[in-house]
This record gives sequence, structure tokens and C-alpha cells, in this order.
Amino acid sequence: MILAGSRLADPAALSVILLGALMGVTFGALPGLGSVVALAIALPFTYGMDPMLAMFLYAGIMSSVTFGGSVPAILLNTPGTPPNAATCFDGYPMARRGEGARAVSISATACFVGSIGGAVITIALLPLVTPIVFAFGPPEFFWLIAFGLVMIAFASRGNVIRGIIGGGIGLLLSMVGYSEMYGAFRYTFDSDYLWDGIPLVPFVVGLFAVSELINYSSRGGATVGGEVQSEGINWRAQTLQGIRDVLSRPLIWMRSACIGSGIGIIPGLGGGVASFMSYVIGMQRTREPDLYGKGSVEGIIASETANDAKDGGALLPTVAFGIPGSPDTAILLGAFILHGLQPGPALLRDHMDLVYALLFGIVVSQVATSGIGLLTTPLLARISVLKSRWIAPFVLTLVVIGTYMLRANIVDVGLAIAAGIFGYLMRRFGFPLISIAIGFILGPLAEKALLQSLIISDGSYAIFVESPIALVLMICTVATLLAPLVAAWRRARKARSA
Amino acid sequence: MSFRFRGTFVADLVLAVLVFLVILETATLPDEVQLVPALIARITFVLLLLALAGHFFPAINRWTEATLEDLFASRPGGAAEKDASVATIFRMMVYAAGYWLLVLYLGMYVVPPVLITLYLVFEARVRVHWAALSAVLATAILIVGMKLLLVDVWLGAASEIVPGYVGGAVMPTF
Repeated sequence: MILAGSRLADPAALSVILLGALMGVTFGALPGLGSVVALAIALPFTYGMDPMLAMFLYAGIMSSVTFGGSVPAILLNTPGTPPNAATCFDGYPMARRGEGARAVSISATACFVGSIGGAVITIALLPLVTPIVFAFGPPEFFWLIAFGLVMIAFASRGNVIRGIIGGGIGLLLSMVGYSEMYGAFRYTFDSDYLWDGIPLVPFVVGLFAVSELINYSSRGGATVGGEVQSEGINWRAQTLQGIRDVLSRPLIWMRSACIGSGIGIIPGLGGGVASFMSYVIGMQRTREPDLYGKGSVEGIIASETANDAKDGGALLPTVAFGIPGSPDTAILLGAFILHGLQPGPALLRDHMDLVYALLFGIVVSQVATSGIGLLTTPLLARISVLKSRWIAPFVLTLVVIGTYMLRANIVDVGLAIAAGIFGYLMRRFGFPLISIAIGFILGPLAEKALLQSLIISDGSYAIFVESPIALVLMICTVATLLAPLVAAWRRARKARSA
Repeated sequence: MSFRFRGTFVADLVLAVLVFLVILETATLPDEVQLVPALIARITFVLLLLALAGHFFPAINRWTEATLEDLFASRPGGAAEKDASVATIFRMMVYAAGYWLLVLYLGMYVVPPVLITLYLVFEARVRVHWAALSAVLATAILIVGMKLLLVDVWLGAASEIVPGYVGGAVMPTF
């Protein structure tokens, strides 16, 4: 912790955090982009970088995207990222009545307290998680990975079956190449390029960044409509009022931070669920529920604080078990592997400094982001009215050069483009990309855990239910698989009785 | 039983065929190596059959549609969620694939500025001089970045056209 803290005094670390914050705010403010694309684009550029500096960059991006996304949500009723949609409900009405700066200031301050809350909760829980992690053997890890995959499929929008199919396809793609366990090649079709398997970074960058690029550039038009009226508004007074609004409601942001962190810990749920659940609970608990949806200060605090607090919580399963808590941390998991770090017990034992670097980076970045945000609101609003087609060729060029730079292999660029087209088609036909990515990243780990378990047990499958942890995880996995059926059965019964 | 021919049906069918081919290919592997992929491919195939059945019997879909996010999150509305036409999507895919093919043969000095300019002029309706200026500037920044990081700029696999800038690179093995 001291090492990670001392690195923050390094000008290079601060510059990288600031760069990440600027990148995150910009990508967050541009509807259609968001943290996943920002992280995916940054991923290849960090290869060869000092791992701690790379973690600071990721932390900077992760923590600042939420605030960036809240700016167009408040000023233009267009959420920069889907989790910011809850902020529109009260942010936009405030902006319409001339309190846009106050709402943005509330968002900036709420993001700040949310990030700190999430980081504090994570730091508090890390010592409790560490002994649990060391109690995990191959069978427990196998069930945890299975649970993570099923949970992510369940948490994805749309049909659960499609979520699991996506995970299955990701797993199958991860099986391409040389099998380390048994020294044989699979599905390489005599291609030298595929001997080492499908490379992680071009695949993930293509899957998220290129597919998103195809998505928003083909829709065309302006990303947002309308203009922000800022004449005659006392921005400074509103900004100070916004800070006071948040600080004078400690119970609301503390509760929202706990909700956000708690949801962040559960694999796959992400910011959308965190912000909406916090908003709904806030509405149920407030003395003024009528104000919700009409410009309620509490509504913005509830959604934005939870949305930012989830980043800290999502780090916990990512670093402790190698199971990402959100799409952002799925990319982060790829970043860990890129830097030769294997999330799980070994990471907690050998590289705890990097875990703290991420958490501290999130906090420091949030300070920078909030400061930048409060000072540059009018500029950010202008960014969000850029046409998506103005951005598309530059993002594609970044992808092309970024994926090439990683190994100086031009075939990687082709793979990224192919993964992007594949990803676009998959999402268009209802298969969540996050399931595919998680399956792809966790596939080799799942196979290793399964085969190691069978070697330990001399081929007996009983090992998967022998330990209490494995049994609990298996029950959780099966229960999660059955949950949609139970929900549908209850719905049908309710409909019949009505 | 009701059925409507849709893109999702074709996608499910194509995936089912591909996964079935994976199952066949997996069967040719040594026993230990095929254990995990065979298991995953079979489960995925069964689920794809279930998804295909859902096109004929919509009740199946109703039993598998409850997700956590649907309970809390709503999709952001407005133009951002409007589906684009197939022709536009196809054009964008061709642009992305063409970008790579041209970079592959002509390299990174020429293709990015030209293709960025063309896209900005014809798709985004930006004036030519602004498009060209921003394209050259963006490419220059990226090329300088590559040079600073000691990464060799890809010159293109075509025979050498402008020595040191366009063509003459050795194609990696595939």
C-alpha cells in the first residue's frame, strides 16, 4: 500500500492518471463510446509500459468515464454511457430550469464521493477476501468461473440462452491453438498464426471497439440534438451549490456507495443495475418522492454515486478470483494478462501493490476528473454534440495502429477488424459481447482448473462436489441457471390468477 | 406454432452449423485434449437448437427472458438506439475491412490519411481541406508516436513503390 501510495508522487504516474481521466471523460461524453471502448483502445498502447503506470492509466479511464457520461445526460438528455440513463431523469429537468451547472457539479461531486466510497469499501474488504481466496483449489476455481459465466449471461440484456451461447462461443474460440496441458494443437487449420491461439488484445479490441464503431457510424447523424443555453446563468454559484448539495446529504451518498460497491462485486451486473437500483431505493426511502423525475438533487446523487462506487467493488472479484465484475474489468483482466499478471491468489500474494495502485489511481483520478469537470463543463457539452461520423475514421485508425503496435504484426489488425465485424453481427442478433469476451478470457483458466481437478482426483468427478465451497458454488451456478425459469413460472402464475 | 423468417434465425442456424462442425472436428482430437471443447461445444449446440426452437415456439423465449438488468435498467432512448439500414452497416464493414487490406498492401504512411479524408468528405460531409488537414495531423501524431516507441511503421506488402515509405515490407507468415 505504501509502495503504491508513494508512486502517486511520481510526476509520470500523475501524468498518466490525468491522461486517463481526460481520455475517460472524453469517451464518456461521446454517446456510443464509453469506458469499454476507451479501455480497449488504451490496452495495446500500454504494452511494454511499467505495469503500475498502466494500472494508473486504466484507473484514470475507469473512474472518469461515468462523470463524462453524465454531462450529456444532464445537459442534453442523452446518456453518454447506458448507466448514466438514470441521471437523465433528474439531471435534464434541472438543466431545463437553468440549473445545468448545479446538476453537473452534483454529478462531479457525487462521482468523487462514490469513487472514494467504493475504494474504501474495497480496501476494507480485501483483507477479508484474501484468506477465502487462498482456500480455493482447482475445483473451487472451476465452479467460480462457471458461476461467473452464468451470472454474466443472466445479467446481460435479452435472452439468457443467448448469453450462455455467447459464453460458449467465447470459450470455444479460446481453445484454438496449442494446448499446454497435453501438448497438442486444436483448430489451427495448419495456420502458423493460430499456433499460439487467437491473440487476446486484437480480439478484445476488435470485439468491443470496432463493433461499436460500426454500430454508431452506421447510424450516422448527430449524436445529440439541441443546444445548451448558458447565457445569463451564474455557473460559479451553481457549481458551489452543487458541491454543497452533495456534502449536505451524507446518508444518501453513503447508502448509494454501499449499493454501488455491493452490485459491483457481483460479476456481470455493472453500472446500469447499480445506478438504477440505487435510484429506485432512493425514491422509496426519500421524504420527497414526488420530486424524483422532476429535477431531484437526491436522484442525481443516488444514481451517480452508485455508478462510480461500482468500479471499486468490481475490482474485488477481478483481482481476487480473476472473475470480472463488469465489462470494464473484463478488459482490465485482459490488461493484467497482457502485463504477465494472473489475477487470483498469486496476484494478491505477489502484486498487492498493483491492486492498491488501481484503487488509489481511481481515487486520485476522480479528484482530477471532478476538478476538470467542474472547470470545463461548457467545453464538454460541445464535445457531446460532435457527429458520430466525424469520430469513426479516427477511432478506426487508432485501432489499426494500436493493435499493430503490440507485436508489430499486421495480421493482428486483420484479426481485430474480423473480430469487430463478428462482434457487430453477434450483438445485432442478440448475443451479448460481454459473455463472448468473458468466455474467451476465462476459457483457458476454466480448462486448466477442470483438468487439474481431474488429475488430482485420478479422474473422479466427485472432486467437484466434495468441498463445501465447491458445493456452494455449484448450487449457486445451478440456481442462477434456473432463476429465469422460476421468474417466468411466477409471472405466468400471476397472469393466470389476475 | 408461429414462425417469422428473421436475421436472428439465420444467425442461430449458421452458428449451430459452425458449432456442429466444431463437434465433428473435436472428435478427431486425442481424448484428453477434446474433453473440455467437446463438452462446451455440445452444450452450446444444444442451446442453439433451443434458440432455433424458440423461433417456432415463442413460449420458449418467454421462459428464458428474465434478466436482472431488465428489472432495473432501461435502454436510453432517442436516435442513438435507432437501427441503421443494412446497406449502411455493410458499407461501414466494407470500409473497415478495406482499410485493413489497403494498409496491408500499401502501408501506414499513405492509407490512413487518404481513407480518413475520404470518409470524412463522403460520409460525414466535412469540407475537403478540413478533412485532409485533420487526417494528416492525426496520422502524423500516430506515426511519431510509433517512432518514439521504436515500433517499425508497416510499409505495406506490395512491391516497393516509394522506398522506405510505401511497399516492400515482408508479409508475416499466416
